[in-house]
Amino acid sequence: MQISVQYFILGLIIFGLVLVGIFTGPSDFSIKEMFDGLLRKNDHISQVIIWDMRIPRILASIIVGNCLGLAGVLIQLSTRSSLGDPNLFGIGGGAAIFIAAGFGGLFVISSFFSLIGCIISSTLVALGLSMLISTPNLSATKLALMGIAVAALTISIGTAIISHGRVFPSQIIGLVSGSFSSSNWENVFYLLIIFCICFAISICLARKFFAIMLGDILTKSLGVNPIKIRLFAMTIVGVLSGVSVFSGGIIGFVGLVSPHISRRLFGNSTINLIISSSIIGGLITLFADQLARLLFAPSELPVGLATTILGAPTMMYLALKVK
Amino acid sequence: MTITIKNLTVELEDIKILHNISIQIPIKSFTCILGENGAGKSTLLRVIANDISDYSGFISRIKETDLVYLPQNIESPPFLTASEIVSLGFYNSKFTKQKVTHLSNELIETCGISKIKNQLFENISSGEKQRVWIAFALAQSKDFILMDEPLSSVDTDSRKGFYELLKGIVESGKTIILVSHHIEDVTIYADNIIRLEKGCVV
Repeated sequence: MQISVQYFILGLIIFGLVLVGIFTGPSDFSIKEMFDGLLRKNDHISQVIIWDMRIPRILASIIVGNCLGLAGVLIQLSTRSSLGDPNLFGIGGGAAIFIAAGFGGLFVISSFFSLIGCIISSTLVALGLSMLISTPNLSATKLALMGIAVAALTISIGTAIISHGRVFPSQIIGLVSGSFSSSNWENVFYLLIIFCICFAISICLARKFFAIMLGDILTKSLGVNPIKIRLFAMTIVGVLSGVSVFSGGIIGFVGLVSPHISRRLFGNSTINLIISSSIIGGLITLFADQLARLLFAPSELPVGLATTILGAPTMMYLALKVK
Repeated sequence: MTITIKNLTVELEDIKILHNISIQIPIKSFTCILGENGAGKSTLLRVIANDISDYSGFISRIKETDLVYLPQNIESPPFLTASEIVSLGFYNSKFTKQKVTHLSNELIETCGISKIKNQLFENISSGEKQRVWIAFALAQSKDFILMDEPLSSVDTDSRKGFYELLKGIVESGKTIILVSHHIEDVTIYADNIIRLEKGCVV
C-alpha cells in the first residue's frame, strides 16, 4: 500500500474517534442539541460540554499520545533497541515525583510553573538514564534493566511523597494511571507548542538517527557523534515525557508499541518512523481514552489501564514474533 | 608511500601488549597482521585506526576521514536491510537518492551480495555480513580499510571468495590491512605479512 494512503487511513480512523469523542458520553443530548452546541448556535449546556470539556479532552489525549509515540521512537532509535518507553523507563516518573510533591503540599505553584517543573524533572531523569546507559556496548538487556530500575525508583519516591501528604485517591489514580478528565484549553495550548517544537527538531535529526543504527564505531566513521545525538534525543524525550505526564499522568506502553506498529506499516525510513509513530501514538491514546470514558460510563477507567490492556498483549505478540 | 611505525609500545591497563615494534606498511597493498590469540594483533590495528591514542613511539597517522575501521564482532544493526546499510555508506555524499541506490546496487553486485540485499542484516550469514561491511566501506570511498578478524566464523570455501574480492579492491587502489590467524589463506593472498608473537614482530 502506498505510504500516503496509509497516512490517509490513519487520519480517517482518528477523525472517526474524534467524532465518537464529541458526540458520545454520559450526558443525554439529542443529536440536534449537540450539533447546535458544536456550532455554538445557542447557549445550550451542550455547548459548554462540547467546547470546554470534550474537545479539549480529545485534543489533549491526541497530543499526549503524539508526544509519547515520538518519545518512544526517539528512545528506540537513539539506543538502537526495540525496547524503550518513556514511562516504563521512569522518565515520566521524574515528572510524577514533581506532581506528587505538589499534591503532597510541599509547594504551591501555578500550572505554568508546574509544567516547567515537570519538564525539568523528567529531563533530569532522562539525562541520568542516558549517562547510565552510555557504555561502549549498550545492549537491549542493559537498557531494559536500567530503565526498569529507574522506573521503580521514581515510582517509589513518588509514592512515598504521596503517602506523606494527604492526597485524594482520585488524584493519585489520575497521576499513576493517567487521566484526561481534567483537560482544558490551557493544557492543550502548552502541549501543542511543545510537541511541535520537539517534532520539528526530531525531523531535522532524522538522518542522523538512521546513521547511528550502525553502532557507535561505524557511526563515527561517517563523521556523526553518536553520544551527542543520543544525549540530544534523550533531552527531547525528557521534555516530551514531562509535558505528557503534566497533562495526562503516567500512561504506559504507548511509547513502546507505537514505533513497532509504525515500523511494520511504514518500514525503516527514520522520517516516516518519526511521523507515523507520533500519529499512531495519538491514535492509540485517543482510542484508549474513549474506551476509558465510555466502557463503564458514567464512571471512568484510568486511561493508563486502557493503554496497558491494549499495549501489553500487542507487545506480547510482537515479542513472540521476534527471534 | 608507506605507513611507518617506529618503536611502538602500547600498554593497556598496565599490561604491555606491544613491545617496541617497527614496521612499514606499503599503501595500495593488501597487508595481513598474523599471529596467535593474544599476540597483540588487534591492538596494533587499533593503533593504526586511531582507536588507541595512549602509546609511545612514532606512527605516521592516517587521517580519520580516510579510513574505515571494522572491529571484530560488530554488533548487527537492528532493523536494517543489507542494502540500507550499504547506502548509509553514502551518508556524506551529495548524491541524489536515485544515484545512491544506483551506486549501492553496483557495490552490492561487486561484493556478490545481490541475492540477500533486501534481507534483514541480522538474518544473513557471517560471511555475507562481512561482504556488506566491505560494500559499506567502499561506499564511503575511503582509501584505507582496516578489518579485525572478519572471517573468524566463515568456512574455507567462502573465505577464498572473500579474499579474491579483497584482492580486487586492492587492485583498484585501496589499502587493506586485515588481522587474521589463518596462516594458510594469508600466505596465498596477502602482499605483505606482519607476524606478531607476544607483542613483538617476528
